[in-house]
Amino acid sequence: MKRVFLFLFAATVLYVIPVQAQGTDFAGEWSSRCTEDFIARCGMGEQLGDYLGIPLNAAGRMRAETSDVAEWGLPEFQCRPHPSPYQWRAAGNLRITKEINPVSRQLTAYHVAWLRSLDRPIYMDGRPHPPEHAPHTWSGFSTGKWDGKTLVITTTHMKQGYLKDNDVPLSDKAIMHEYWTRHEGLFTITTIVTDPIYLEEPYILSSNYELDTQTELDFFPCTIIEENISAAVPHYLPGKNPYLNDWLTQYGVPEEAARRGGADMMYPEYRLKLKGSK
Amino acid sequence: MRRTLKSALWTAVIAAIGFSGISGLTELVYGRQNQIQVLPVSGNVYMLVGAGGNIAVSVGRDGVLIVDTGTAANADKVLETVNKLSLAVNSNPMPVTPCVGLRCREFHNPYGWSNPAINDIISSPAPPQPIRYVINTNIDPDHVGGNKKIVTAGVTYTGGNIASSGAVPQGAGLITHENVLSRMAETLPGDELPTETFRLSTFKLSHFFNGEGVQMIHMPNAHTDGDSLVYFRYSDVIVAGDIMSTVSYPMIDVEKGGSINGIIEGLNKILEIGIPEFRTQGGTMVIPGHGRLTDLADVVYYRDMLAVVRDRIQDAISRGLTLQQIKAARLTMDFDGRWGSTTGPWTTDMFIDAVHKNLTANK
Repeated sequence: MKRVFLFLFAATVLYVIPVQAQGTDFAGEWSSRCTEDFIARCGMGEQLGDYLGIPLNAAGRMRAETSDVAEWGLPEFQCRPHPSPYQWRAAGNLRITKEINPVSRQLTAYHVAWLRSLDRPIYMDGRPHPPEHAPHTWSGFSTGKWDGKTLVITTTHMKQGYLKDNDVPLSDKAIMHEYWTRHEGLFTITTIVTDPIYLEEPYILSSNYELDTQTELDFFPCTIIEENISAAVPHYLPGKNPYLNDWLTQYGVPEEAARRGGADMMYPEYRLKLKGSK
Repeated sequence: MRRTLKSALWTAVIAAIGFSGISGLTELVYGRQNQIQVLPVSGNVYMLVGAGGNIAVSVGRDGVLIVDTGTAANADKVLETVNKLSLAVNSNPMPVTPCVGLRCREFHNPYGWSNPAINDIISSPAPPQPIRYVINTNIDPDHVGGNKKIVTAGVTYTGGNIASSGAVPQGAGLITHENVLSRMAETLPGDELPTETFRLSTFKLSHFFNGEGVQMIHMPNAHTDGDSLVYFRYSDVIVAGDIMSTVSYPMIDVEKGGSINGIIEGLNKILEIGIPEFRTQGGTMVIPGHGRLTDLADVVYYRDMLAVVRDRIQDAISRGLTLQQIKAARLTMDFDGRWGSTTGPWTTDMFIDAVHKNLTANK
């Protein structure tokens, strides 16, 4: 009987106190070096109609092609932050801080902030994700756990937004998994975005940052704007967006590859299909 | 042996409950799988999910005000949940000095030191505050189905010449727009009809309820011709009824005066009233008729989606396409995965039918 009691007591205590073990310290200021997608990230921005390598499905393609970037100018969206998946590829540096339980000194959460973001907590204390009827946020709800030295993060409850800032859509049903690794001063983030509404297959990207003790997180210049409601919603009727092919001429990319998107574009075999296309 | 085992089990259960803090409000929010779910929204306002349409509840010292009552089949569950919520918010045993700060005056015991303040921390909670008002945002059965039971369970405080003589039912007050009353009167007996209606664009409770003003705003020709937004002005929560949903295209009941443009106007009204807290997030919260809790950014996206769909169908009509050709063109394909449905009470086809009917009727 004593054993039964001890077992139940131990089970109760273990339920209350989650086991934590920290693998790697990611806290600090990190600079984007734009070693991937330089033109988009640190050049002139994403090109309209550029869906190279994105596993868009037909609905995603239609949404992207009929969107108008003028939507960014709506009074209601003047201060809209980037959604979490795009933050890693957006311009600007980032800051990661640690929230520590003052008693146990265990890691409660990492907090991530970029130039154009809100606080993004990544809870490390074992709390569950919220129920389905809870609100969605720009950052989403993130929880992390260690896989050796790698931090594995799951993010749900994101608002709808964009996967890239040229209006490649992201639905509020999307889920993001991240794998954070650190090699001394280099920070590599692999993101896997699953979106049942707009993607055929998971969209996988890796991004690199470099530890930078001389950098600061800039102030995001968003303040009070005039108070009104949009009289119209900017968009293009299907097949009527005139700007989708502008960049093709400049870079000599075949239209079929650039405009269509799709899962097959992510694989090496697609090069064979491209040979001979114009 | 059996007794010892039972004792050990109870010890463990009590320890688990004590350690994890599951009690009162916490239990309502986290511990009720497959029942009516409770989500604290802001200030006095809570959202109840799982009873049909979403329900908003204001709970405080003045009692309970409920916006929409779910389906008839769920009325008992809703009533039980509201009573538990009222008990958890108003009657929880609390420390003798529960508050520090500017507003603590409200909590001071008016009877001073002669009062047995220890009563607050013993296990004899005050009964739940009564349901005083029920407001309906529209006439649909998943929003008004629980009216009968929930209104009857409430009270109206009256006096003087209109005090109850026993012949007048003394349930909670039931408030709707006049157009809802007109339609209810076609099918319901007199004692189930609203006790208070309004016919102008707005209606306010004549005094604060639970410390704040409560305002109804009529949105003509939205989901129907009798839709109301309900605005809790201090908690900063807007109950949108079926003008907003996170799970489907809006139900446009054309026969009852609903229209796509009215829905968009209703969403714009929400945006006009509300203010985000920071960078288009938080601040004024919006409880939709169905689906999850939202803020203004979600309303913007929903409004934008509907404006895009309307413009596409309007363009197709202008080009001479028939309704069948419009459906075949799949003009809503990019939104259907998120908002559409091929089964259930409101399909994508029904939505396009309604929008088409609206836009061709306007010519």
